[in-house]
Amino acid sequence: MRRGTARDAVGSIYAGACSRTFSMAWCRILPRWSDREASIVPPFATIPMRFARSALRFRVFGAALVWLFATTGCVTVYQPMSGLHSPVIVETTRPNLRDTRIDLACVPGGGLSVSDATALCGRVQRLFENQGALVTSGMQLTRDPAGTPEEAASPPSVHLTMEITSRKVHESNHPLTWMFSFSTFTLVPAVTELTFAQDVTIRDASGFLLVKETLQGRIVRRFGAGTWLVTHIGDLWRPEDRDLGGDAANRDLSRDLYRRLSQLAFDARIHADVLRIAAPAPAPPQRLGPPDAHPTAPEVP
Amino acid sequence: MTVLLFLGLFTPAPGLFRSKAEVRDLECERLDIETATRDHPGAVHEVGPRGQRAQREIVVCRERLLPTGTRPEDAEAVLRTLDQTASGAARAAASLRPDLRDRIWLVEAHHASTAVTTKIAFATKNALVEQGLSVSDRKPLLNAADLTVLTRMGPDEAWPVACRRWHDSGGLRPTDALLALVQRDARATTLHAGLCDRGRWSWLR
Repeated sequence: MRRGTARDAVGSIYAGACSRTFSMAWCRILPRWSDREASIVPPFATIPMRFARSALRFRVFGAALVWLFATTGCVTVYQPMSGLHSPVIVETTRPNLRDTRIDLACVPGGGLSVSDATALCGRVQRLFENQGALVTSGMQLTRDPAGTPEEAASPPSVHLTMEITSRKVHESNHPLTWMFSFSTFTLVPAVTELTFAQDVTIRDASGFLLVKETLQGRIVRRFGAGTWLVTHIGDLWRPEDRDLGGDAANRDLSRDLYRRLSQLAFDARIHADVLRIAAPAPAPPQRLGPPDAHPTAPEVP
Repeated sequence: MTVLLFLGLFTPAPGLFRSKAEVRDLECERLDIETATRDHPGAVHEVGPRGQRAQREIVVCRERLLPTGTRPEDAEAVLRTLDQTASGAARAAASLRPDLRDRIWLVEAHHASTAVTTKIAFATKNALVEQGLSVSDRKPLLNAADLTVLTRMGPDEAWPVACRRWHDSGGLRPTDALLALVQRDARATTLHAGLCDRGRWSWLR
């Protein structure tokens, strides 16, 4: 089973924001360096002065530094706030959702682009199919009630509809943190933050609400040589599952999200079972209008 | 301190001062200033009469009662929300069956862990008392032959049969009603409530 990334889950709201902001800031700083070399050139740029005699060479050197920092200076961490790190009992590799039909909708908006919503739905669909469910996915809950031919042959006992919507709860990217970071040659990190929420709603075939939960988390990005170095040195001593650098944020968010979605779907399935059993048996059809002359009753001789 | 806060070094996110495991023991929520001042008086400075100079961001985090990993996941899942679950079941019983208000209520719980089962039963009894109902500590018993048969059945069949047997054997008197909180599947994190009244079983939620 392929697992998605954090970007699929929260959309492209923040993807690349760190490097974009960083590049913009350096674009503004670079021309000033080349104009007033002697007074503003930072200490680390004075070392290869022979190489940087001409303005062109200096710009190339500066651009290389920008590229170096932009590609290595960001540390992204993920913090589950509520719901995402709630206990999960189901094992996502087991057939937990056998005999279940799920109509899945990932609604774009709130930071989730159409392509991200499609990618998220595709991954969640695979997640549930790996657990034995029969899944159809899209951006809206529109579906042929008759179902697919294979469903018509052996109809699943439980029919659920799951809707996933995204919200951007809060975003913070203060220019002062960038100023402070650059004034210390990025030894002090610049911090940006995004709080997101995924609203998950699961209903049964009749539209009865079975589960409604909000999964909330934060993505914090720290930029700077200092934080990058400390994080990666620290990762050398940490166990692999506690790493902070590299792809750890994506990995952790994906694991939390998909495990939690599996648990919610399973709980909804059990709840739907209870409702199905508890539902009163359908009453026999009642005759409307005045009773006729009992056509099936035998005639009295 | 202000500068460090401003730089985000003391935020609850994992980093230099907090490990990932520590962060996972926190339940956090983002609040607006009005809600934060109302819910946490003293901890958050109130907005002055002329408004606030800079936009403030409040993230309130509560530490979990027990660190992650102290209890098994299935027990943790049930116990974290036990108060709401028990109250919800008691409310449902009281509101859906007002005709049973004068009965003496008995409570039965079922969970994979015996310790958790005891806690569920205790919480449910308290919740029933809060609804103004009469609650008894008596446990309806079944004989060994009944138990042998019941343990071979699934929850859909076992609970109605158990209810009938309690009624027939006199374990559940006509003046009693029984509320059961059941974990229907070992993989589920939710409990379901059922009611036994004079040998008739019905699922409440």
